[in-house]
Amino acid sequence: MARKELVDASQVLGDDSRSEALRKQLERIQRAESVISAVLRIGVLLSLLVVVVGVAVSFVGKPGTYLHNNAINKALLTRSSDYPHSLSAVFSGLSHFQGEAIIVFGLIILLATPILRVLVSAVIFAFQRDRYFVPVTVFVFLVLVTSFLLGKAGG
Amino acid sequence: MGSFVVELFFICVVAGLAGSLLGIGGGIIVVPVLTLVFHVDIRLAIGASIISVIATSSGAAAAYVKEHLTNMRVGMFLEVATTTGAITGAYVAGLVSQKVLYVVFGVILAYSAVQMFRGHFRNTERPVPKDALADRLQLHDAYFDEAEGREIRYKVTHTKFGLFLMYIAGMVSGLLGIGSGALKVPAMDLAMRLPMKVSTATSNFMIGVTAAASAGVYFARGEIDPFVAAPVAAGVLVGAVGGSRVLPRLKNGFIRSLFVVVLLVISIEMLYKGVA
Repeated sequence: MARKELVDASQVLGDDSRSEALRKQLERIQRAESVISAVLRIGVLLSLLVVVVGVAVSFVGKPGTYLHNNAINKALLTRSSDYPHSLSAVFSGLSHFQGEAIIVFGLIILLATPILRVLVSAVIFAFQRDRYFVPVTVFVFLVLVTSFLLGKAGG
Repeated sequence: MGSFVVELFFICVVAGLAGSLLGIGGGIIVVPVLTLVFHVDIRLAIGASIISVIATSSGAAAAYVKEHLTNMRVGMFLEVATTTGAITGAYVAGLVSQKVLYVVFGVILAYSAVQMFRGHFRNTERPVPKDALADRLQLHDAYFDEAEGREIRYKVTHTKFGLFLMYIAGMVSGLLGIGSGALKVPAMDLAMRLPMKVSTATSNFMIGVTAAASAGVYFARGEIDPFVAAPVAAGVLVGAVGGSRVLPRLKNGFIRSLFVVVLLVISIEMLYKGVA
């Protein structure tokens, strides 16, 4: 794998600039990268797993939804309100082991992953006392939260 | 109708693959396929394309970040502009004619495509102008290029101009719901002078956040249909993870050519929507 080349921070810096401060900075960046990469990977795998389970449950529990032409065509050509699109509806659907609700829950995990990534980076930068990137990531996180609140109000 | 799920899944694998290589969301494939081939309602198709953008981004970024292909500092700094731009876009959406926007951005994308094509023949070793902001934020970086078998160091420049372009890119995605990656990559490649693969990987890193900013709205409006979105999410994730294994081994020049072609297609699509 190529990443082994980068584990050695001195290689990125080159022999000429292997100062202690720079080496430390690169190590910090690499630590942040492995945490953020793990957050993304876990989010993606978890959502994929939940979505697949949801599809399977839909097939088994309510074959009509996916298997009958008429039902699916009608569902796709119009915006239906049959499926859950509020958090409370999703959770009540989950408790009844509804396929749709499980799929939507998986999609929510997917949507939350980039937002969680921003939050985790803010925490990492705070630990590293990065005076530029703490405000940068906190600002982005607040903008995301604001847009969700505005979206709720407007939509 | 099980075939609907299977077909859509495989088409989305291709969308995820292309998106992860080029730093775009795959909406240019997902939306036309859903509306034209499967006759899905346009609003549900756009909802599914939001899912596609986030899946492409997170699916590939996990690998790109770890491989140090993504310049996370550049990405996170520019996200300040893309997210604010996205909110602005959502607010001014009613004020400007969509048709005019399609024409304007169709032209901008065509111009970027031409500039990027000319970049092929430009001397890549030409000096990068000094940029105090990039120095202070420590944006300069290096990555190991598997295709060339060596480490490539690069300097970042025109950070402020890049920030401005990202604000515009964010606004466009807020206004039109599409095309944010198509503007981000040229901005990083042409203005900020990042290597091509770093540009696509960093754009890929950022588009998930821009899309997440508007995802809440689509979800609340009930435009993210689980039965459309499920095969899209699964297919795109598989494709994006696959693409992320391939990109490190591809040459910058090849990615650039591929990007120019796709950029021209998007620009024609936009111009058509603006005129038709």
